[in-house]
Amino acid sequence: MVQEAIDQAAAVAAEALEDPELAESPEFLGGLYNLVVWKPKTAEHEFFRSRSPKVGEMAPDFTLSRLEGGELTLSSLRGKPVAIEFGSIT
Amino acid sequence: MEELARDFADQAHFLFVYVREAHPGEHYPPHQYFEQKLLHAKALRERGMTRPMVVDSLYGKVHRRYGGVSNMSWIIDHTGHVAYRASWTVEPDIRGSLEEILRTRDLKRGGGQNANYYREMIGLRPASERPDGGQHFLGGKVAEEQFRQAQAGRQSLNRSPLVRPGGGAPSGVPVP
Repeated sequence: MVQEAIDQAAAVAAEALEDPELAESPEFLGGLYNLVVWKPKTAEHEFFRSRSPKVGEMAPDFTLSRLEGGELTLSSLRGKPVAIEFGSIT
Repeated sequence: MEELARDFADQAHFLFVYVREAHPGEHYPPHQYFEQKLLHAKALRERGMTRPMVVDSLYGKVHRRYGGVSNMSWIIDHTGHVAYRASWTVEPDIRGSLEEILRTRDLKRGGGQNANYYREMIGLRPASERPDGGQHFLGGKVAEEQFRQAQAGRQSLNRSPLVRPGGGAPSGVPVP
């Protein structure tokens, strides 16, 4: 059950940066992405541990909207290390 | 992390990726519109976040690709390779790792006889602490109660009363 959820989430995530249509699934790890405030620890941690990019791999590139306007592409920051924190207000 | 960003301003880039609310509540409800994410990210800015901030898509396309946990941190090296990943943001750990990543880069540039080795570690953190050390339940009483229920094992928090199954704006959610 947990493994199935991880496999599904990984399949969506792998396509996420290449195909925005496929990426916009409201579901994630057996729940709803924006509803989930507490997930099964095993699934969440296992997905991170086993399905996110490993140290030594190329970081998946992305372009996102800057809060103050315009866009930012990760690869445009090459030349210096980039410390990225993911988070929210709550 | 803010202090770290100031200390390393000349040597590294810092980026905050705003993603879904980890503990949504009546003050900061679960996102139903991208504009809500912008509003919440602006609220985070007003609370003292000075680092460059980008806002992920409504359903977290970048967040998922990088593992989807709530308060994770990554360091990408100067060539675009992953140099560090952690499922929680721990400032002293990131500070030490960043120092080492910069030192490693300089050693490689120096052309000495060095070889890479691979390593991983498991860390331990206080369970109830936010990465920024701030108040835990800014989402409000709903978020706090849900968290306590989940801690007590009485209820899965995969369902929030703030959003109705099948969609539609719940009452009390500000529509931008």
